[in-house]
This record gives sequence, C-alpha cells and structure tokens, in this order.
Amino acid sequence: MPQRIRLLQSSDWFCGAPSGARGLGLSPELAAVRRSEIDGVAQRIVSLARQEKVDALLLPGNLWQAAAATPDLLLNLMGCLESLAPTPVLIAPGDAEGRGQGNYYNPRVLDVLGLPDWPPNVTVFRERAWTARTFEALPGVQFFGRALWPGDEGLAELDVKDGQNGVRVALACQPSGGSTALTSLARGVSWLALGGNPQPALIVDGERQAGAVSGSASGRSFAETGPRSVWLVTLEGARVSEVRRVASENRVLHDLVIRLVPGDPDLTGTILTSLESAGVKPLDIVRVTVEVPPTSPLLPPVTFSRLADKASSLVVIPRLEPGPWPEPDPRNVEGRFTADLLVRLRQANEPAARDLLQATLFLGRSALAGRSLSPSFGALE
Amino acid sequence: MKIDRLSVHGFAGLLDLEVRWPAGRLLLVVDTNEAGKSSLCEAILAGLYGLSRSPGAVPGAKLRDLRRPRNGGPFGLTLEIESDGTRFRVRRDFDAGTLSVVDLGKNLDRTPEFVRSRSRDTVGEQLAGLTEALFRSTAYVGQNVLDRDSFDSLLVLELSKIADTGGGEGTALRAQRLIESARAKMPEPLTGANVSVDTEIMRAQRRVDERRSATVRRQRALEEASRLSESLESLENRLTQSRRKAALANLGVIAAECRLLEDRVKAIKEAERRVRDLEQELSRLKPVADNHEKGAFQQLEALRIEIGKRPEALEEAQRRLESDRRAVDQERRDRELRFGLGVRLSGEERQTAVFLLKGIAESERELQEAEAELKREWEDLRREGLAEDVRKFDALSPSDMQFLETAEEERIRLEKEGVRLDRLTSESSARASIVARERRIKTQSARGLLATSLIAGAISAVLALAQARVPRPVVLGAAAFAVSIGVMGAVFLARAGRYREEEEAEQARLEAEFRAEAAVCRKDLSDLRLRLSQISAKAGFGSTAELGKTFRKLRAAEARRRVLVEASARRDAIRKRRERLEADFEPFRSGLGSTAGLPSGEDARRALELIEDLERAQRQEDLRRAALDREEERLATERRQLEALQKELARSAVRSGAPEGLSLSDALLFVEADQKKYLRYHEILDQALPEAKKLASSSDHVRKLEGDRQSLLAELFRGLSGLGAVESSLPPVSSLDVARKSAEEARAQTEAADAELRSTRASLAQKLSEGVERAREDLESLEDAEWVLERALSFRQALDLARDRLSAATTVVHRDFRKGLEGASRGILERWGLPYEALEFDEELHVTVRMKDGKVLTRPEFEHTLSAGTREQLNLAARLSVMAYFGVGDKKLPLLLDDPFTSADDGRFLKLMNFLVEMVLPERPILLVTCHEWRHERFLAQLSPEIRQRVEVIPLRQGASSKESAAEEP
Repeated sequence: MPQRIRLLQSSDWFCGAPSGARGLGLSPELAAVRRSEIDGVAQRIVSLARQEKVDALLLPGNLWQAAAATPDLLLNLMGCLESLAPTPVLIAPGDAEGRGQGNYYNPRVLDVLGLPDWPPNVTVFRERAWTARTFEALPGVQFFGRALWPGDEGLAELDVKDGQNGVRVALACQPSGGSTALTSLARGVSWLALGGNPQPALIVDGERQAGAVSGSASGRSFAETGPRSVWLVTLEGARVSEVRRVASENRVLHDLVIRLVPGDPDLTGTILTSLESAGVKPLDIVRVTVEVPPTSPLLPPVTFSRLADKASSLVVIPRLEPGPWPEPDPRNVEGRFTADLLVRLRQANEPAARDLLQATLFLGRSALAGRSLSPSFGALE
Repeated sequence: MKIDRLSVHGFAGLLDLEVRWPAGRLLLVVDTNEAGKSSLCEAILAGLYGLSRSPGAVPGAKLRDLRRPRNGGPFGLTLEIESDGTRFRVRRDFDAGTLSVVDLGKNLDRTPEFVRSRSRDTVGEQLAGLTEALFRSTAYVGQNVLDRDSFDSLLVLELSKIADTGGGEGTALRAQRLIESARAKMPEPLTGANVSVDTEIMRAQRRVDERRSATVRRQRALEEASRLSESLESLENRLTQSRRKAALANLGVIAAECRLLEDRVKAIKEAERRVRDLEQELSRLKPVADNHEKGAFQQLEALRIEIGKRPEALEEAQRRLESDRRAVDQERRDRELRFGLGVRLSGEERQTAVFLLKGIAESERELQEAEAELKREWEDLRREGLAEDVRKFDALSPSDMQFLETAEEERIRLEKEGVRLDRLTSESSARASIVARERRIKTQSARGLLATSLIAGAISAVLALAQARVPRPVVLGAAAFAVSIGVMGAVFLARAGRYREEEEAEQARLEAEFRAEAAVCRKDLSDLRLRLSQISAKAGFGSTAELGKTFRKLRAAEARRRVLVEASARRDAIRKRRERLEADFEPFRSGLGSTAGLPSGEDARRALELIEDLERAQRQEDLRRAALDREEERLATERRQLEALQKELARSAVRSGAPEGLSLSDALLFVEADQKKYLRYHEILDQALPEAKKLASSSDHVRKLEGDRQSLLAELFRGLSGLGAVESSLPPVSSLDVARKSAEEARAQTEAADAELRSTRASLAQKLSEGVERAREDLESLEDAEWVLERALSFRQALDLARDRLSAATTVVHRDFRKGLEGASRGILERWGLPYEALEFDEELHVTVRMKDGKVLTRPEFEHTLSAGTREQLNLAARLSVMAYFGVGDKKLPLLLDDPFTSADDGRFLKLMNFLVEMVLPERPILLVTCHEWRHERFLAQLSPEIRQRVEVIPLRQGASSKESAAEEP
C-alpha cells in the first residue's frame, strides 16, 4: 500500500456546449472567448494536474456535450489527457456525453470516425456495473468506476467485501434528475469522486471527508456562480489527509442583488459599492438585480462608463422588491392599477405568472409616468 | 392645517423674510418682477415637502442650485403650522439636508415621526394631508392657470393628472397611447426595424421553428447514430460467424474432393476387372460371329422392323371397315322407318314438295296477318262508330253507290240552277214591267202637253177676246204657245205608243223560256230526292238527311275504308292462293303423311324440317359410303404389300441359315438364337469393351490419385485445426457440387455481412457528423431565437395586461372621482351662494355645471353663456372640490395664487378679487402674489372698511422690515 497518493478530481466540463451567452448577457466577442474557455478546460486541468504532480486524475463524467462535441474537439481532449501519461486518467462516463453505445467512449465509434482509441493512460469505465482497475505504479490502490447507461436513475452502492484492505477510490457520475444517498455510497471507499452536479460539495460521513461532488468546471449560467474549482485530495494510506479546492478558471460569475432606495440619486455608485463588496474582478461576468418598490419601479439612469472596467460583462435588471408592499392610494388610477397588480402578485404562485405581473406593473407605471416602454422592462447592459 | 408664520432664511431671491399669516386674512404680496413672489410660494411648498422631486420638475441637484440663495447665505426656512390643534415648527436646512419638527405646545422634537429611512420626509403629507403633487394641483394656482382661454383644458388636464397619478405628470390616456404605440411599433426590435410586436413575435417564432427543426434533425441523427453503434457489435459478430461458416464450407469442398478421389480409384479398379470379363466373353462368341454375315442379319432385322405390327393393324382395319358398312346399312333402314314413303321421293319431287310447303306456311302466315289487319281495321271503325254504316253501304248495289257518289253534288247543283232560273225569270219580268211603266209615263206626259195646249189655246182665245186690254203680241204669243204645246204633245204621244215595244216583247219571251227551264230543273230535283229516299229506305236509314250525313262521314273516312277494302281483297287473294296450293299439294300428301285438306303452317314447317333431316342424312350416308370405299381400297393395297414383305422375310431367313421349307415363324425362331450371340459379340467389341478400357487406368495414375487425396486430407485437417474445429463440424454434403454450392452461399453471406457492416459504419459516421456539425452555433442560435421570442411574447402579454388593468382602473377611479367632485362641489357652491347646484364632470373630466333647476349646461353652453369670471369661480370650486374629495377640504389649507388674473380686464379683476375676499377667504387663508400694484390699489380702495381689514398687503422688497408691518399674532 502506498504511503501517500495525490488525486485531482474534476468533471462537468461540458466541452462543446453553448456558452450561455444570451442568459449571461455577453457580447458576441465575449461569447466567443467564453466558448474557447469552456473548450480549453481540459488543457487547464491537465496543466494543474501536472503542476500538482498528482498520482491520478479522476474525471467522473460530463466531459463534453454529446449534442455538440465534434471529433476535432474530442481529438484535442484525448491529446490533452495523453500528455499526462504515464499518470493514469480515470473516466466514469456520465449523462452529457450520451448514455449507451453511441458515444465517443465506444472504440467502434472512434474507429468509424477515424479517431484513435483512447490513450493507454486513460481508463474509461464503460460498464454499467462497478468495475475495478489497478495500476502497477499505485500498488494497493483499487479504482472503481462505472458508466451511466440508459435507464439508470441512481447509483448502486459499491459492493465492498468486509475485511478487504487497501485504498479504494470510486468515481461515477450522478444521473441528472436521479437521487443517490451520497453518504452511504461513500461507505467502504477512501474517496468517492462524483460528477453530474454543477455545484461543488464535500461529502462528509460523520467526521470523515469521504468524497466530493466536483461541480462544473466552467460557469455557463447564473446558476453556476462563484469560483469554479477542482478538488485536490491527498490520501495517507486509506485515510484522507487533505482536501483542497483549487480554482479551475480565472473568470467568475456573480449574481448580485441590491435594493433601490427611492430618491437615491446615485444608483451607479450603489452598484459600484456592491461590486467591490462582492470582490468582482475585471474578468468576471456580473448580473446586478436591483429590487425596486412597487410604487417606484423605474430604474434611475446608470452611468456604465463608471462601471466599464469593473467587469468584463455587467447587466443590471430591475426586480420587484419582496413584500410586504405598502398599500397604494386607490383613489387614483396609478394607485388602483398598482394595488390591482400587487393583489394578483400575492396570489400568483407560478414564477412565469409572477414575472408577467411584474413586467405589467413596470410597463403600466412607466406608461403612466410617460416614459418610453421597453421589452427589457428597464434592464440595463 | 394652517400656516401661522414663515421665516425664510435664504431661498432663491428671498433673504431673511418673515411673514406672519393671521387667521382669516388674505396676504396680498405686491411687488415688481423678479422680487421673489413665485419663490415665496415655492418656499412654502419646500417648507412642507422639501425640495421638489416631483416628476417633470428639474432634477434634484439642479433644483437645489436654483433655489440656493444668490448671496451664498444660509439655505433654509422655518414654518410654524397649526394642524389638528397642535402647533409645529418645521425647520429645514437645505444645505445640510436636515429637518427639524418641534411640537411647540409640548416643546417636543417630533422629527422622527416625519422621517423615513433613505427617503423623503412626510411633513407635508402628514400635516397637509396631500402629496406635493396634489397640493400643487389644487391649492397652488400658478400663473395663467385661470386664464379665460385655456382654463378648461388645463383644468381637465390637471384633474386627469390628479385622478390618474395623484397629481403627477402622467395621465391614463397618455399611458394608453404609449402602450398602443409600443404595441404597434416594437421598441428595441431584434428581428428588423419598424415592426409591430406581433410581427416581431411572428418572425421570432419562425426563427425558433427553423432552429428547432435543425436541432430535432440533429437529435434524430444522434439517436440514429446511437442505434447504429449498438448494432455494430452484433454486425461484427455476424461477420465473424459468417467467415467461419465460409471457411468450414471451403473445407467441406476439400473433404468432398477427397471422397471423390477415393471413388475414382475404386472405379478404375472395377473397370479393369470388367475388361477382363468382357474379353473372355468375346472369345466365347467369336465362332458364331465369324459364321454369319453381318448384312444378312441386318436385312432380316430391317424386314422384321418394316413388317412390325402391320398385319395386326390390317386385320383390325378390315374389321372396322366391315363394322362401319353394317352401321351405314342399319342407319338407312332406320331412316326408312322414320321417314316412310318420303324417302322414296325423288330429288325433284322433294324440291317441289319443299316449295309447296314453304308456300303453305307462308300463305298461312300472310292470311293470318291479313285477317288480323282486317280485324284491326274493323275494330278501329267500330271504335269510331263507322262499322255499322260501312256495312249498310256495303249492302248497297254499285249503281246506288255510284248514284250516291254524285247525288249530293247533283242536288246542290239543281237547287242552285232552279234558283238561278227563278231569278232570271223575275229579272225578265221586271225589265218588261219597267219598259211598260216608262211608256205609260211618256204617254201621260204627252197627254199633259196636249191638255196644256188646250188650256193655253183657251186662254189665248180669251185674250184674243179681250183685245182691248191685252196687247196683241201677248195674245199672239199665247196662241203660239198653245199651238206649239199642242204639237209637241201630239208628237210625244205618238212616240210613246211605240216606245221599246221590241224590248218588252223580248223580255216576255225570255221570261217564258226561263220559267220552262225552271220547271224542268225542279222536276229533276224531285226525281233525285225520290231516289235518295228510296236508297235511304233500302239501306235502313231513317231519312235522306241521315243517309247524306252518314255518306259524308264515310267519305271523310274514305282512306280508312279503302284500307279495309284492300285488306279484304288481300285476304281473299291469299285464300284463293291457298286453294291453288291445296290442289298442287295433293300428290305429295301420302308421301309426307299428311291428312286431308291443306296442312297447317306448323305441319308444313315440320314437314320441311323432316325433309331437311332426310336430305342431310342421305348426304352423310353418301359421304360415309365414299369413305368406306376408299378405306377398302387402301386395305387391299396394304395387304398386297405385306404379302410381298413376308415373302422377302422368308427368303432372308433362309439366307441367314434357316432350312428351307420351314414356316416363316419357325424359320425366324431358328435364326434368332444365332442373331443374339452375333449382336452380343459386336456389342462387346464395339461398345462395352472400349468403355471399360477407357475407365481402366494405369497403376501410376492410381498412385497419383492416392497422393492427391492424401494432400487434400492434410490441407483439410490443417484448416480444421486453424478454426479449432473437428471433422464433424463440417457441413454434411452429398456431393462435390453440393459442397461447392454451400461454400459459394457461405461466401455470399460473408460478403453481405461485410457490406452491411461497412454500410452501417458509413451511416454511423454520417449521422454523427450530421448530429454534431455546427451544433454549438445552432444551439446558441436557438437559445437566442427563443430568448427573442420569449421577450416579445412577454412584452405583448404584459402590454395587453397593462392596457386591460389600466383601463379597468381608469374606469373605476374616474367614476368615483367624478362622483366625489360633484358631491364636494355641491357644498362649496351652496356656501358661496352661487346660483349653481353642483359641478358636473363627463368621462373625460370636462367640467360643466348643473343649475339649481336641475338643468345641466352643455359644454358649448358652459363655454359661451357663462361669463369668464363665473367660470374662474367654478374653476376654483373644482380645485377645492378635489381637496374636499381627498379629505382635506376642512383642513384650512392655504390657497396660493401666483398672479392669477393677469388676463382679466379691470372690471372682471375687481369682481374676482371681491369674490375671493368675500366667499373664499372665510373658508381658508389666501396668499396672492402679484406685480400689478396699481390694479390692486384700486381693488383695495373700493373695499369697504370691514372687508378691507381682511387683506394684508406685504411688499417683499421691505424684506425684514415686513416683520414690523405684519399683523399681530392671533
């Protein structure tokens, strides 16, 4: 059994996937940059692995988007992983690459496309059942992995025989929409590397750090805010001695919310303050949601030139502040209109219905104020 | 709320201004332009609400600069206000942005009650009960607002602003227009310039559909690729199995070849043994073969073959010929029995009989047709009621009929002739009478002349007698006249006696002649009628008239009658022809078995058929007999040929070794044994032995074959070993051909499996390429298109909903607002003693008024019948009604008037000012700022002392000194 091994875990790269530029409010130029950043994640991770001198690279799934990954993209990815040789790279195929036989993990598919087979240092767990793999360079360490196949809704627990000694590392991708009891899944293994969830998380079994959910390597929507990272794990024997998160890319997505103060003459300044307090860097992509009161839902002007160097992309959108809302004066049209919509907003449960009512409120009050109407309901970029 | 005191520390052009505002006083601020009159009003508002941020106002920062004191001194003011029994001091420092509200009664700082976090304070709203916007729209009347020409439209606008936005800048009407405008022209369109929201949606939807289609196509391609890749493994397995099967089939071919070689060796050995056996048999048969000539046996055999079965066939044909002859004879006898004596008729007789029989049948048919026609004609006549008449006329003699043919015409002619002769007689008589009358007249005239002459003579005589009194010429004249008249009379009388005597005689002669002819004519007519009467009686008619009528009727139906007659004639002719036929048929009656009389048509046709059958049978018999004769001749020839052949056969048998004198059959039996040996000898020699020798081979060849077989066996076992198979794995085959065919099929299956695998791989590559090529761009493009569509859809929904809800809110608010204003105005107008009951507002908030008698003025009436002053009073009433509607009507809010009546003439100005002081001031304090000093001095001068003391004049230029001039605090 080795005294100490270092593992690097990453997944959910989604190479080839759309950049999410529209949802992020990116300019076409930045969208192109963002695409190359998403596709370049393999290179960054491999560089990191080389830099950290890891003993194995664990990739539990969703490395590319099956619907959009071209053979050239795959060839680059294989080249990156091969460049890490002889360090073993272990892959547990997930949902995004396409379940079953029709994906790039199938050597026959590679052959048909004229692509080489996966490099020798890359192990792909193509079976549905948990499969073990050992390496001469890592004696006493067993790697277990499995692939997602059509019909899989959860991950079966790894069947570990009692009394077995040694280090056991397992990796798999969680099926999207499925549910798995992570803690029980991690029992019996030294480290459980899971993919399939955009948000990173540590799996703790009692006092023990038993594994981690990788989280997506690149932010593609405001659901993936915060720094993107990989897990660097050190095992002393069968015990986890250190777990670190290391940034996987420099660009961070921020989704900030501030509250509009009626009469505040300097919304730009308020936004600047919130950017600073959130630690936004010039490369970052930011959305600022300004919560406005229903009786004054119109955003004052924002001086974007003051914000230009604070982030690579910044969009400001208004949103109705959460209740309770004051009762408008029903004796005038504006008040009655607002009161009517607030009543409906209180009754609406569906987000789409609430969005519509909010937009209606903004538009109606804008019209009453004699301001030009906009389909972006006051969003500023 | 009541403002007691205002201290302006610095506000625009106002510095250290102290204004006290006693209860029930109108503060009249009279000063020049730019003295700060309007700033005084704004300072009061700023004291209540802070610096304005109302919509449409100058932006905050800039307004602050505008209101800042021009000398750079302190920027602030203090108000002392009484509200609901509490006195407050409101101090504002606009430089520091601070506010201080102190309850003067309790000396308590109550600022926190009026401050909101990070928002404007609520001093004005709490104390005045109105928002700043509403205060500005009601209690603060700016310059020119009450202008005669525009106050109605301005009032409508302000009321709309109050009703729609609480006194803000916007109105529901403008909001609806903005919404409609946005609906018609999409703001910030993404699918093209100048498009409506609907067009934007339509275009975006089209883009989404296109991109979704592309995505679906790619998705399907990937699904197909997945399916194909799943089938790849099974296809590869199938190809492997096919290849193994083909290899085994090839080995099966080798195995079959081995077995074939083995069989060939066996066959060669068998052939060698057979050669030996044949050679031994040949040596045994050779003596017999040598004793016979090959040609004799061949000739004998040829003759036997030629004769073959011909004797038996000849005998059989002979029997058949005799049988046929007997059959023909029997048939002839049968025919005689069937046809009887008819058989004996000669051909000519049969032709005559056939002619007669056809005539009989034909005549019978014609007779039936003629009788039927006759019957039909009679039936027709009977239906028309003519049948009986025809019979009656048919019973008449031909001379009668001939007479009747012309009788009618003759009668008419005679009658006409009689009439004509009577007329001629009358004419002749008349002419004679005329002549006689003319003669009498002429005679009477002549006699008259004579009488006149006598009278004239008498007169002349008298005159002559009276010569003394009558001149002589007269007497002479009279006498001459009497003489001449007398002469004339005499001449005329003479002539009249001979006048037309010949003519009269001629007419008398003609009359006698015509009369005689007429008598003859009447006699003829009488004779004719008599004969007609006789014929009528003979034919059975009641009268000659009936006869004539019937005869005319029959003549009208003459064509029918003629047909009837012709039919009868035809029938009679046929009957006569049949009588002749019966006579002609008599000689054939017995031969054809006919009974007496003319045969019926049916019998005739039956006899005709019989004759036809008979003739046919006889023709057939003749033909058969001719054929039998020809057969008999052929058989005789055959018999002669056979006899010649048999003789030649017997001679040939003798030549082949048979002893002479034996019967032909014995001779042939004798020859046959040697012939068999001879033939067998030559069969072996010519056929069996060469074939056997051909199959037999040398021992070297056999060894070579054995060697080849061993090589093949070795190859077979090597192949099996290579496939990991044993000999039993080979496919069972019955022959080399079958094995080769199996191998060929297995090869074809392998090629098919290989082709399918290649095709699947190509399809897989294509589908994968289709599935991922430009997919990212397409997916992003789809996201874009969906976002654009969603944006436009949401915008449209929100616009529609906003329009709907705004409309609903407007309807309700305006209705309530109108009712509220009307109710409030009723009280105000009553208090003011104006002759109106209430203000009325239409849906667009245009104002008019209801008179005390209940009549509501129309808008034109309102504009043209009311004086400008009255309308300005009503305008003020409307503004105060708004405050009352919003519940602040009794708060004694001050009325701030900024030079309100600038466009009024002097008379109207005075009236309005009096109205303010007398009617409005008792309700609320008034601040009026103006630059028209002279006009207001006149106004003050004409006030009664009692009223005058309610007006406090404040000149702003006196600034701080005004403190001293201000009225005492109440």
